[in-house]
Amino acid sequence: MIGLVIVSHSQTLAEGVMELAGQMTQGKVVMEAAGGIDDPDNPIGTDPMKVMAAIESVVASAEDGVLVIMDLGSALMSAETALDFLPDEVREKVMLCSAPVVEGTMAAAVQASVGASLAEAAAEAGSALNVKIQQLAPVTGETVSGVPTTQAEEVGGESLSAEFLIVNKLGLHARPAANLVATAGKYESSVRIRRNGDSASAKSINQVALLAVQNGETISVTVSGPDAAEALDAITALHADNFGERDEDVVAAQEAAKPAKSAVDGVIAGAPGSGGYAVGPAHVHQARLPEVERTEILDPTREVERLDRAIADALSDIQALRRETEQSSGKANAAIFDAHALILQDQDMRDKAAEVISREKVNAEFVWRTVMERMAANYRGLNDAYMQARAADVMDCGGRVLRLLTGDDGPVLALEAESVIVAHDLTPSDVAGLDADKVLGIVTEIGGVTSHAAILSRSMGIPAVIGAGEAVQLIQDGDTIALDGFDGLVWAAPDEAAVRDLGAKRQAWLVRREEEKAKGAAPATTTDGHAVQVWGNIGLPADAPRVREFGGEGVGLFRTEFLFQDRDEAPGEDEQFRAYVQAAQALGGNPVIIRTLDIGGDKPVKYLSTVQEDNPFLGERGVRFCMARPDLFRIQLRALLRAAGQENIWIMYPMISDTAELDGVLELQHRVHGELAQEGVPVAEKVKTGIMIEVPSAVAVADKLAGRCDFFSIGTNDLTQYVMAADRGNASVAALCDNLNPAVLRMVKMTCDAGRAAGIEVGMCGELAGNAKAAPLLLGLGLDELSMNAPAIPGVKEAVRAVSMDECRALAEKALASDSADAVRALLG
Amino acid sequence: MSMNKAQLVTWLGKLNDVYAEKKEYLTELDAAIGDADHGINMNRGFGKVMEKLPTVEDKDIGTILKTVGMTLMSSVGGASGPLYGTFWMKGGMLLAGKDELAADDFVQFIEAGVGGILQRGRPELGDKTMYDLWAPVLEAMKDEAGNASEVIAVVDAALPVAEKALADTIPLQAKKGRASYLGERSIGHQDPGATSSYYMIETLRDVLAG
Ligand SMILES: Nc1ncnc2c1ncn2[C@@H]1O[C@H](COP(=O)(O)OP(=O)(O)OP(=O)(O)O)[C@@H](O)[C@H]1O
Ligand SMILES: [Mg+2]
Repeated sequence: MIGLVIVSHSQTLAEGVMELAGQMTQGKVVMEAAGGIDDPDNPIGTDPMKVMAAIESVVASAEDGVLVIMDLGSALMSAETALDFLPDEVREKVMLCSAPVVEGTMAAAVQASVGASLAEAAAEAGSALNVKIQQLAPVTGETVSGVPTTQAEEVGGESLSAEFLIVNKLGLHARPAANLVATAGKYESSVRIRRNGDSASAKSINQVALLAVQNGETISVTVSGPDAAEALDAITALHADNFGERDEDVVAAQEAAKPAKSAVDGVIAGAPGSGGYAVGPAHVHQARLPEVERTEILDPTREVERLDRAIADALSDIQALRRETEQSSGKANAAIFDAHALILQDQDMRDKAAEVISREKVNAEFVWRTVMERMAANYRGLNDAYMQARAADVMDCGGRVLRLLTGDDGPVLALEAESVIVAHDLTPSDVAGLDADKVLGIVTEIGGVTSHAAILSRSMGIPAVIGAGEAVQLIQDGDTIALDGFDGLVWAAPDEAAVRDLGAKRQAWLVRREEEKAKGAAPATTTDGHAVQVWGNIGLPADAPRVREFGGEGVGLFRTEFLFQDRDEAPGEDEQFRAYVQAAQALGGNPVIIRTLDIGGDKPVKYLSTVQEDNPFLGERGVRFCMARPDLFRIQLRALLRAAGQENIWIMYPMISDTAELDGVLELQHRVHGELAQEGVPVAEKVKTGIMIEVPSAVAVADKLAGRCDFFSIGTNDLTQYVMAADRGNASVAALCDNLNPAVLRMVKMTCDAGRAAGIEVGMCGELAGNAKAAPLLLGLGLDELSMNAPAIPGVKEAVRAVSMDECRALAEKALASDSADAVRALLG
Repeated sequence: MSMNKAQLVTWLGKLNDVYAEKKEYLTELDAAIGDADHGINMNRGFGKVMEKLPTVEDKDIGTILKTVGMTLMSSVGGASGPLYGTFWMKGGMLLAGKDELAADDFVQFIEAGVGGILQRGRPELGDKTMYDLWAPVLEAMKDEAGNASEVIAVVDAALPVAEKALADTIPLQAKKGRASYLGERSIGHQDPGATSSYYMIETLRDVLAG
């Protein structure tokens, strides 16, 4: 049981409060009054030593901890001072509670007498004024937030009720509860559900969940309002439909509720985030919530707006994550985000926070943290393992809001020994400054193959399994675990045989990788001495070192989209400048081709307004998108030109379709260059500037374009789609979309010829460039440079070393004369 | 010139006298915007310090400061108890084993002490508390100590800053402590805690000047 300490300026008051509470609990709860000071003439005040003594005396007989309730001012400071003096093992058991002293003590004492935990008692004490507010409502006109009064709920119209027996195996837990809330929310009428004495609004996920209706219990649903009949019909239908749960869903839900079993018995499956094997001790990374301080604010309306904005942004992040996860690892893994979205959409939590902000004029982050912690504590207090696990969901999505409010992304990961990182999710800031040599592998609970965690692990060459689900939570710090990043499997408790097996696979994989790197190191020269540039593609500066590691002699494509995605506003000039310089520095003077932002309707970014286009691939994308947003584009150009003044950086424009477009872009670049020079900012005299060749019209006028720029780089993915007029995402025409089609190869040839005639270099940065088998063909077509994902570099270099230019040209001639992609493939062997 | 133990003991003794003399005045200030006890609190606290002082007078400066802190903490009774208590204790922890304070030591003591006030009361600038005095005072002291000067020079440099900071609390609206319950009515009165803090600096100057 827990005990209470009451701290007051007045010993008489503290004792009186204790007396009142004692009456209600019949002496069952240990309490101590720490009031006044030892000065008979002026006894009013507080004394930290007295508080400390009281806590020590209570803790001796209250094994579940001590709740301290204080009146005001120095009482708070004295209690905090007392905590500082107490030994750690005692301090851990003490909780300070901001509840009002009289009502709070009553509520906390009653909770204590029925065995409540510290958090539960504190939560009850915190809302202890509600009873009083409700009772006086007719006189004062105040209402209790979160618990709508009947008055507020009456919308007019009829009132109907019905009773339902709950047959769902786990009762009204997350999914059925969510479906109930979703259904109730469609109607204007108020919908309340009652189970025995307790009731909840069916429009609040938290209220419904906290009611914790079990299998076999009966609820009564009361619907009042203009559309009451329709609402009740809908709920009746939902009930008949088992609240949306199928039989197998019920079973699945049960399994999900007991992740312990699946984790111990077998292997956890997730998405293959990054290839490789790892065996080692787990380092469980707990995302810490940002520290928040209570500060008073002047303008509660603005503060509530801040909160609303943060909630809206968190929701849009969650929705993006959901889509991404669904694409890469299926609906089941994405379902968690629906639950998170529902929690944040729940007006109950938001209104509670807004009310406190307005009433107490306190900062949003402080209030939000309190509200979410209280909500999580309520879930934890429920006598049901599944519901207790929902506390983590509240903390997770609530934490997202908190991080948006504070801008604090949580603690930085630091490893002492080689370990496998196990985390809910990893953000770029989590891994910033991480010693990659110590990371054996990465396992995350959420996310898909395109999540940050996956991209980061690939760029660092660390095996990773992403989005392995809740079962991951059972892994403890220091547990030996194993993972296979090729197949996306995690062994949470591997037996000896599995450890041996995966250990051996890891060794073989490491050896293979070293061999490849060795192959990558030497230049790529044909048997007759013709040298070809083999470069790497990157998405973030962090990928750049890998290009070198695999023997890349430059970066043929730095896609800047990643710098702009998954954030709330565009990166500023300095941030971009730093990213570009950082990437180039990693290449140690070798060229880095940076492509300007290539987005549009096909790849929306939330803070950049994109219009819904019927045909985004033929719409405002690439340079078209940027030229229509000169403010955004100008910043990127400034950052690029500044970076190019310092490092070996070339600028490349995507989606150029004719000469006028290129002229326009070059003119803008020229103007920005002039501005910088005028401001006295150091810029390079001349920056090497080129374009992507990916639109068929650009191939047709390649001779004209070549006269206007310094290099071409062929983007085979888009070029193939546009040449073949086939969307590779559309299964029925995807087969047409083959980059070995002679039509595509002829386009490549035309581009190379135009480049050669004008004396400019021609490279390739699409998927085809990384195909080692196609390397001789590409050389024969006349390409000077091939750029690909880092791990493909050694293979392509090897392929180049095996052939002579004569062989390559002969091969190209045959391919250009072939009838089909398959025929070309046959030539390549 | 450094500050020695004898000067520290004299400072504490003089402070006791000052708070006895200013008991009514501080209480009056607190009556205007608080609960009319600040003078009583400070007088009681330093009275207790005088009782304890003989038992530690021959110990090192760290021990003396810690004893002052502990005594204030458990005898002042108001918010200034934990605040000043932490102030002196933080200094005591820093200066363990010292028998003399160079200018740098002294400034570090004040810095640690002001850090203690911040930690305990979480005041912000402009909240109309003793911190509104200590923040600029600490800055001034640090600046002066940067010129490698003597303790007295450091205190001398801080005194006019303290005087101004004290007057500057008058137009502020209280955001912390009892006075915050008064809202706008706290405007136009000098903060009692800042006043008692000012006496600490003023008295030390007198002691060091001899
Ligand atoms: N949170 C705080 N942070 C910093 N200084 C504070 C804070 N609260 C009060 N003070 C300072 O304490 C002075 C009041 O000290 P006093 O000893 O009279 O405490 P009090 O207001 O009576 O405390 P209480 O009534 O809360 O017990 C104020 O003038 C102010 O300078
Ligand atoms: Mg007072």
